[in-house]
Amino acid sequence: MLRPQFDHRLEGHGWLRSRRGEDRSDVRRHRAVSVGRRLAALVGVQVATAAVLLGVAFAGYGRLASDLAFMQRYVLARIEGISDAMEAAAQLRHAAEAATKTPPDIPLMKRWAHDVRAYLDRYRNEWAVTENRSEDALRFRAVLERSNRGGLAAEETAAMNDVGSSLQRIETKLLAPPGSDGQIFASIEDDARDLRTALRRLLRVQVAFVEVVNAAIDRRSAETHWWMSVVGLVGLLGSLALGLQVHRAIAPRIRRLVHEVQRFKELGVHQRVLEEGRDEIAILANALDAGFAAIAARDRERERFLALVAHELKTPMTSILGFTELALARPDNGQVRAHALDVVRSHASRLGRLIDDLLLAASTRSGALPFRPQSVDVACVTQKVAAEVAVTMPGRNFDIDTTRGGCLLADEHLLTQAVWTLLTYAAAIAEVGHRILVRLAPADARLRLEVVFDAPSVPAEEMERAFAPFASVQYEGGSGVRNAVGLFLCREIARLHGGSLLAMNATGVQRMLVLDLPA
Amino acid sequence: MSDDAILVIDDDADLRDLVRLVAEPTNIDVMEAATCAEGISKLRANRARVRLVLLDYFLPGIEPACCARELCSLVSSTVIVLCTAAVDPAARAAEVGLSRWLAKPFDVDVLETLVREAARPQHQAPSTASANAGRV
Repeated sequence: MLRPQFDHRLEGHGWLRSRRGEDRSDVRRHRAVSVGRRLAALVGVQVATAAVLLGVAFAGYGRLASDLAFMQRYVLARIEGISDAMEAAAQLRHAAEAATKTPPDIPLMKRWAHDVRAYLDRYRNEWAVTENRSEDALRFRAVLERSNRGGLAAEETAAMNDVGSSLQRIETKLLAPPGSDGQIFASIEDDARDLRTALRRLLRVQVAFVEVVNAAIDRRSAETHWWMSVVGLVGLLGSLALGLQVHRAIAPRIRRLVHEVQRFKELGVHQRVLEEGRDEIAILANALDAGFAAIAARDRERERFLALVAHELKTPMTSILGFTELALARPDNGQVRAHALDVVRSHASRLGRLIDDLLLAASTRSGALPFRPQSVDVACVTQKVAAEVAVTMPGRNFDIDTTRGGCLLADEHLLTQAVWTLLTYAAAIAEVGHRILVRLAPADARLRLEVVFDAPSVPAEEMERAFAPFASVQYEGGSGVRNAVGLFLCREIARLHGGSLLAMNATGVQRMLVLDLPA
Repeated sequence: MSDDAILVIDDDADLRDLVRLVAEPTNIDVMEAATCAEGISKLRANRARVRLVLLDYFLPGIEPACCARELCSLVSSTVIVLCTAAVDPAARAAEVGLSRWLAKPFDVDVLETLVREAARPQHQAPSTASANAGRV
């Protein structure tokens, strides 16, 4: 039974080579999550880390800015005012002291007292920690509580009260009628000294407030730095862990692929790369597998083809060599010599066709098929080739019908070769003993060469594979007819002539090859 | 009719013809078969006379190994030589269970030697395939 040698089974593609346990576990572990997802997770962690860091930085430094603004308007502003009040108190004391020698400027002294009063009132209204109900005051009380410096508020109240009582006494004495004795000014001088002492005490409280706020700002700053460090460290560790995962998911598998590629390159042996996952590496490995399998299959096909070509060339050579030696060994036997020459001519012709077939097929592959058109009698060519094939393939019976043939503009050498390939192929796959019908049929300014034969075991779809370059037909206990180059050359010659070659099912077990050429 | 015969099983008529012409000067008959079935039939009918079987590897209608097995089962002392144009004839011979092969294209002298050996009286001929294992 004839069997076309087109079955591209990927032998060796299905078996798996043994691997080290760690490789297997690597594969199992890493095939679950794709490399793309791992990379996305890595980038995600890095972006999230950056976002959290930015958030922490904005929040931390925003609060620091708020604390600084709070210190500016609530803590430092009162210190500016207290220096003016202390200056006024000092002026009051000097004026009271000088009143024993020169008449005092009471209105001026009242203005100084008024300045201190204004500061004290403003202090009570805007800054006093315990008395004020403003948002800043509440916030500052909380700061004091957190700093365990709540006693400062009481000190502030006491200092304010001292300032208030000293000022009250000065104001009362300044309201006394003019001409009072010098004892009053001496008393005002004492009060002014007390006032200044109380203001200095209040100033010390303010300085303590500044220290508290400053410490709070320092704590806030350190806290911000800590959070940023924690987030940065967590992000760094997360990125490192994911980066390591990505590395472990990619690197060993890439190494394996490189190893397989190198092995294939050096030894030409293809073993399937074990990548069962669906991630990008597995896709790459499968693509490599498919490529290697295709190359290996092509190599096997080429080896089969070369073996077949060698077989095809050696078979006629056996007869040529044998009959030549026989003719030389029996120079006196004219009958043997004549028969030997006939056999040699027949097989040499077949050998020439095979070599032409190979060379033309190779030229077709390289796009260098020579084309020299001239008027060719297709009927004549068909009859000549059929007779030639019939001689070299005994047992093949051709029914030739070329009555409707005609002349074509064609390359005679190529057309002859195409018809030879066609008839040889048909003879190769046709049932033994069945007739092969060859007929010419003109139709619509075209000429069809139809070859009809019985080949139940080879459907037209199977015949289509013979159109592949260097496809070969090998028989297994078949008819003894082989065609080395399939129908690739025939189809290419048909195309070169503006025609086509088709393989089709005719009726029942009949198959038909149609060489269609423009007339 | 000679007491000795050679059986050529090959679908190539020219090769069968060549063997017949080479054997012509000797006193040995050449029986020709184009198929394995035909060869088996002729060997079964002439098993006492056939000294040498030249068996082509590719034959219509049967696997080469099956054909060789059938032939071997019919005769024990007959030398069966595989004729093949395959690239590795030794492997082909081993594949079909034969130890002797003739690689195509072969020298006519080699064929003549084989035919003469087959034409000798049986006690002088190579007794078994193993005695001359390998290329003939």
